[in-house]
Amino acid sequence: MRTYILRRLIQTFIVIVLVTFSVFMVMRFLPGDPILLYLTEDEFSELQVTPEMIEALRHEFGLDRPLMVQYFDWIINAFRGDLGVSILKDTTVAYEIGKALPRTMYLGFSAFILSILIGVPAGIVCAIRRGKWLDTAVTTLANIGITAPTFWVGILLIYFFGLWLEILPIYGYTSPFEDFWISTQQAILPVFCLTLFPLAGSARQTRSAMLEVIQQDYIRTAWSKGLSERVIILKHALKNCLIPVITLKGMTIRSIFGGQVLIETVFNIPGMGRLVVEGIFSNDYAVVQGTVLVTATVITLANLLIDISYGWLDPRIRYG
Amino acid sequence: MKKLFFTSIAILIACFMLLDVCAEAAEKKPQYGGTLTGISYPRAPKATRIGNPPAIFGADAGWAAQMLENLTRYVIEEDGNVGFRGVLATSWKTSPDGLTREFKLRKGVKFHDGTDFDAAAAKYNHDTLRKEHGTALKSVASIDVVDSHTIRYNLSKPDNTFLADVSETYAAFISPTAKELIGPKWAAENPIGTNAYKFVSYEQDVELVMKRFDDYWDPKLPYVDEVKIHYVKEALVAQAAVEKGQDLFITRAAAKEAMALKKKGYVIVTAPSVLRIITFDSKNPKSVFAKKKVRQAIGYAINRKVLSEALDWGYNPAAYQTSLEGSYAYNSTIKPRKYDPEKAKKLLAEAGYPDGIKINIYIERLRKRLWTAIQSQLQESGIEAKIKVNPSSKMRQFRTSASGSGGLAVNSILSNHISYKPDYILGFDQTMRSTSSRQPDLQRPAGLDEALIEAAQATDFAGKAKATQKAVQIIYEDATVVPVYWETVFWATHPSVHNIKHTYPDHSHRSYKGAWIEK
Repeated sequence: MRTYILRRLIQTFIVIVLVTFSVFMVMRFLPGDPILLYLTEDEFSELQVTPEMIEALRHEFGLDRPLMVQYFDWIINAFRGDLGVSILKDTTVAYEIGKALPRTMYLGFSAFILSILIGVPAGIVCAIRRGKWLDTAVTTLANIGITAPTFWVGILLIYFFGLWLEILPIYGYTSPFEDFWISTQQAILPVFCLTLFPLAGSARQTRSAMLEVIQQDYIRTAWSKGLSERVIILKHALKNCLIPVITLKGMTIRSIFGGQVLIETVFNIPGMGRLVVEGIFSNDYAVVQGTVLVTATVITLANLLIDISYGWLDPRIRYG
Repeated sequence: MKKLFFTSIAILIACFMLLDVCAEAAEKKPQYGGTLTGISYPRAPKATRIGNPPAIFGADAGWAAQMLENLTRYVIEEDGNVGFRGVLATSWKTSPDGLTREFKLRKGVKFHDGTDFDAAAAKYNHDTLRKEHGTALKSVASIDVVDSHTIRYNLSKPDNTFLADVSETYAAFISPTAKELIGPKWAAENPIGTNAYKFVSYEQDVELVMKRFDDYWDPKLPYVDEVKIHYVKEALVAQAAVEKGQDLFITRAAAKEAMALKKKGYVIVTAPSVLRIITFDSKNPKSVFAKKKVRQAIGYAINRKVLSEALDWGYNPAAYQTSLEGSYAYNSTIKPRKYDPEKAKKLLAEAGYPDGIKINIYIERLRKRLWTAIQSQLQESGIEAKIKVNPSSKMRQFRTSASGSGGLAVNSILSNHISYKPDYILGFDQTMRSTSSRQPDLQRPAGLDEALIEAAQATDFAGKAKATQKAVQIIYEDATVVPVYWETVFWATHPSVHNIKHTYPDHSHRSYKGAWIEK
């Protein structure tokens, strides 16, 4: 297992390097120049942008060096915790990510946990009550959850719960450590939107996997031994049906992080999604590289944890 | 008996009228307390900064105006003249030769850090401003402290835009003590001013929080305890928040949401923001736009009326000259170049292009809808236009760099603007003067600089108005730039909020110090 983990960590490192390098190169070739934006954004300024001025600032931000030197310099500093300086925000990228990441994690983690806590039991119930009205209802809702666009659902929820019923705030984010009650109220709608797709996926996958497992011979044996339904499902069947569900959860982490861009925009939450989008539109290289690095690290490490969990779920799976 | 009856009726009527007046007076009386929350849109693509002074690149003094104050502020008088009222200055006088301006400063004014506002603090601020900002207070040669509350500005030449200049948001005052102790970067991001609200916190493009300054020089103000500005990108969300009452106003609302809120009883205020214009690479002798008739043809080729009706619910008035109708700078003798494709073709033929011309149009992504419409209008006049969409940074480069150093390709027009200023000379100075660093590809006509100088040095308002109208005429006849429409901004306020005042010069903010919330 240790060897496996080490091997996976090395793979994770390679993936991160490849992802960040790709993003680095793509950003450099996008149209637009952050130095120009930096120099020309001041509305009051009569500044004439001269080539010398541009060169001086490029030198200050290290943008006049060869691309590979810039990249290696950045990646080495990144592993030391220095993600660079945002050209346009005039703060360190680490500081910006330090503010944005907890917000994203708070919402993303809540959505992730909810999608498991609700999705898996829903899938189990659908499987054991297959063909009944409950199965039909949950499956229909799951299908809606998978197909409905997150952005659209968010706007609908805002209008329904925020504007019409007036029971929840329209937008905003407050740290749970600052005011837990307001934070919870503000988090309900965005977390719901984020949970919808993974919850629906979990329910469907659990149902499908459970249906397969409960038709196995050993389950029939358990029934014939007179064990209760609860014991059969929870003790004998559940673990065996969770492997595809766990695999799906790995992909869900990606979609939760990815979907946050839209949710953060709709609900005005200053998280990682908004940070990276603003960075892209303003060609703020360091911000984009930093957020991609952090996001890639979180996702790859989460997938590593999921892969390790297979061994716990199924003792037959052993990693060399 | 009859007399008694009618006397009683008269007394009763008088009582009812008195009661009505009292009730109305009671309704209008400002109430103290509450939190005023509102929505603003973050400026794309760069994060909004709020600090002052603009010594730091990109510092945006807009919202700082709620926390900072100037010597004077603009007003537009009833006859359309630009006037000024004292804020931190109680009076001022000008020497007969126009070269000295002396201000008496308000006494008892404190900065939010408890230090005094006085002539030394004013001099510190404006000396810094002149040093670090290219064109602010450009006519000031030196500043003297006469006594603790008298300051004198010595001008290098008479300049009747001086009061407008000191009324601009960049000329507001911050605490020199705070800046010197902690540093200019901190001062740019933590405005320590003298206004009725003091800075609490600011997260870029998220939230700005200000709270009442208890030692404000006007003991009546402010009424509200706290002001919170939330930066919301999504127009639908902003509208829903205001409708719900989660926020009480929106600044710079979209026309559609403003109209929707108006139907629900919100108070909508509109004001001109910028004049959308077309500029040319007319300095390039190889460009078709080096010829005046081609530029004039562009003026006839655009159907402004249709554009202004189609865009933003008709709230953007068409512009045929570079001043707003009804303002002192409006030249009523100018015959507008209304849409006339045949006339445009004739002008092109006279310029030597009977078969039309091919041009490039450089625009920002935001304006694509407008320019696609203009492109099809130009087509009818034989002008084949290719639209080139650019990021904002590139557009700014075009506006400040001459061709050959990243500037425009030949035969190009540029989507551009002139910021609205009540004192038009300030706006023209930034864009139209030959010494301006903006639009280096633009050929300025002979006589324009002289007209602008004449307007700036006029000794009375009538003279200033006449010279400004002359400048407008010169720009029009030369077709130096082609105006398209005045862009309007909308503010929507909940009916429970009273007395939010509009401030000039650029409407990027309002004054909330007199605002109160009806409970």
